[in-house]
Amino acid sequence: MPMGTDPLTCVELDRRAWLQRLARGVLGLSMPLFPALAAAAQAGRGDAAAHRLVACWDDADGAHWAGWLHVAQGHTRVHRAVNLPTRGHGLARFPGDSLLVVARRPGDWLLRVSPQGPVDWVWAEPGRVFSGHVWVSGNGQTVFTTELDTETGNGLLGVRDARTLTKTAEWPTHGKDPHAVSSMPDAACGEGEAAHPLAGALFVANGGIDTSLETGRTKRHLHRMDPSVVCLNPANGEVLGQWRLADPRLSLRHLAWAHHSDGQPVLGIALQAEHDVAEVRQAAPLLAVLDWSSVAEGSLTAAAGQPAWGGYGGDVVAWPQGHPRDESVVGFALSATRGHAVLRFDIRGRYLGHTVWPYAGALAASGQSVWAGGASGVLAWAEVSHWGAGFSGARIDNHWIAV
Amino acid sequence: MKQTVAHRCLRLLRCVWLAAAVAGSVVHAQVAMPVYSAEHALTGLYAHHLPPLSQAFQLQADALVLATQRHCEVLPGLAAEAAQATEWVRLHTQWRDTMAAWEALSTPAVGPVLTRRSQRQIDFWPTRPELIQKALDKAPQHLADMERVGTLAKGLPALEFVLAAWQPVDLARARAFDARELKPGEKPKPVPLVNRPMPAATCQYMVLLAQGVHVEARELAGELSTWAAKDWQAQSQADVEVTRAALVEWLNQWLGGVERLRWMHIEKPIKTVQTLGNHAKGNLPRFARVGRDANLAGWRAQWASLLEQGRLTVAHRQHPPVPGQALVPIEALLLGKGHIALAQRWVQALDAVSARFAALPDSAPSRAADQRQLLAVASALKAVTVLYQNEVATALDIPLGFSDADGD
Repeated sequence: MPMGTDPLTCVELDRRAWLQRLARGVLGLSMPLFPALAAAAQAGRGDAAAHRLVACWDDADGAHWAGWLHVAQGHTRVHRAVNLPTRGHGLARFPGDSLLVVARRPGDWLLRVSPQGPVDWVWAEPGRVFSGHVWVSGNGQTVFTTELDTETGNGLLGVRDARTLTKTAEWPTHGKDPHAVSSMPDAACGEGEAAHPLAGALFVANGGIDTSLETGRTKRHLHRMDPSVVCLNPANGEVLGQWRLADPRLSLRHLAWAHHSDGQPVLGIALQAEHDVAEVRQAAPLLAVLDWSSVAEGSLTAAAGQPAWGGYGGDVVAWPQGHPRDESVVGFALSATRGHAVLRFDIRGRYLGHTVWPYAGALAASGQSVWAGGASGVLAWAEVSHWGAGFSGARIDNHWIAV
Repeated sequence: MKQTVAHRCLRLLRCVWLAAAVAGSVVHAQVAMPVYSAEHALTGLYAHHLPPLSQAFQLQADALVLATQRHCEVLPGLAAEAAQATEWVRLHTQWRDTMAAWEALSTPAVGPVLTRRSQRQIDFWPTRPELIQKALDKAPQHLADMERVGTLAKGLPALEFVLAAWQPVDLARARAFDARELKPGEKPKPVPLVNRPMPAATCQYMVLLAQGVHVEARELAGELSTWAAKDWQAQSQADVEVTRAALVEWLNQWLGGVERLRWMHIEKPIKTVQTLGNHAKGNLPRFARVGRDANLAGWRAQWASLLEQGRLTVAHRQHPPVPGQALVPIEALLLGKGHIALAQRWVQALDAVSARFAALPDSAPSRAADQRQLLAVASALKAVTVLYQNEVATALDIPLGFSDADGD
């Protein structure tokens, strides 16, 4: 086990009461469910702000949910939960406080829900399945969904009218197995004071693994993997760039934007290793960074100096690098789900250390805090680590968002 | 009356369920179960279980070609509505039996069904009416002409769609339908489009669709014979990996077959209608097949096949499958590994599904009751999935690609 574990305060909590409420259907009440969390928060420095998180999770009976969780003063409240027909996965905030949730790949549905309003469902058309992730354009007018053509297995980016969620166009992602989609921040800087030439452009992580509708999530032809990150013009889907790692067995999956102190962007990408040899797979890097600071066209490289963490990166977020008062200096936090830890990297992908967190999955960053989901509950992690709280019984899916 | 494949599937389900209900838990572990290897399981599946199903599908596909050809020959000479209706039912029954034989062979989809992507070739649904019309406009005459027609307008669903579109209608009922909400003094509209003769080109298209299904049945049988002759006994490390991969594929696809039946065939169409809002209120779920009898036949055929691969018969409890000579169901694999209690819970979960299927009436009850009953079937299937994911796969030491338990 790698050394350098950060100190944690974790409290195991009984979630039976909450699960009983879940079993009765949609939760709409705002009531404290984790009183022990309060004590935990007060015992620590407790400077992680109150947070609302939107997430998907499975309860102990295997039922699937999406909704709003509120963590404050040690209490976790479920503000609203919607029962899902299958497992949910990707989420996106939507103007007006509503939320988009999409089914895990190969998925059939996309839904929009607000804390109080009705639920709007969209079902994948014949010949298409959702691939688990959704993104809302900066102006809020367009929704992008990663999808698969079930005939060819090729990746597609569905372009949807944000008002109706109806599809207006489809663009190829130029790879198989598309996962997350994200835009380079409009404020990203290029050389000097100029805006970055790709600011506002769409980036899609093509996992590169072949699957077919008949065999669901079973991975096929791993020796022909071709993962990549592709950059698309958000106006017409034109390819503006495409990057590959030297090792094609590193599947590129989830995305987070950070930036250097001069504002130049860096894209952190969580990896999943698919090597045939277990030892190679276990020791594989879990983060890649796409950086334009030294190469104008952008350079995609795998993380350096990372110990073996099980070969599976779950989620990734930009994270304050250790200078809490200098928010311009950031790195990445990444959940090593099979390594049971949250890892930290600097902005260039150099490994910094880890915090043990069983089945670490969903990550969300807000200010100086990182919120990590896992088998043991919710880890609220301000600066380094101040307090944690058990969240056992249900399993939070791989992603969540602080709202 | 000739017993159809669909009726045989229903009878099998009812027999299994009744046997389980009568025998209860005492049926378990009366005879020591052999320890079955991966080779035994794969030989049982490919050499003993699937070939008869493949032959049955081929026979039905042959009969479907003949039935459509005959339909096209006799239909122009049938003036009486009753004769047209009888002829239509005869062809539809043959289509339904072919579909049920196909579901039995392809559930779960393994071996050549996967490598040939046969589900996509002959059972893509929902079929695309606009593409069928486009294909009809081209008036294909020979099977070679069908190569220019996409799979979305071919196969069993397309044939059913065309057949359903030309189902003879009772004229009196049609007139009564058109007479609804007439204003005083207004005459009912004539019904000129009802029961007009099927154009010859449309009938020829149905023949070509049936021939396409027949070709796929023949190709599947040919490839399956190779799989049936395969010696799964490992001679080298590479063989070990091949055999292991094939076993993992079967056990993953079995779960995939359960989920396909539960979600794609039953629950998704209902949930889709339930979530579409007020503008779709009153819409019926769009199941894979057009009519209730066809959907029931398809679901029951799928479940009967999954059940046969999942559960021992009463006879097999007295005389366990001989290794290498018979299908080794999942229950036998569990018992062979000593998981007695888990095997009992496994059988209970499977029997709960059989009971739900057996309880479905042939005629649809009220819409609410129908959906309630179907969702109860889906719920029982989901319980099988959860038990499989959480315990059975682990007991069998099988990694799951379909699992809800892993990440993404």
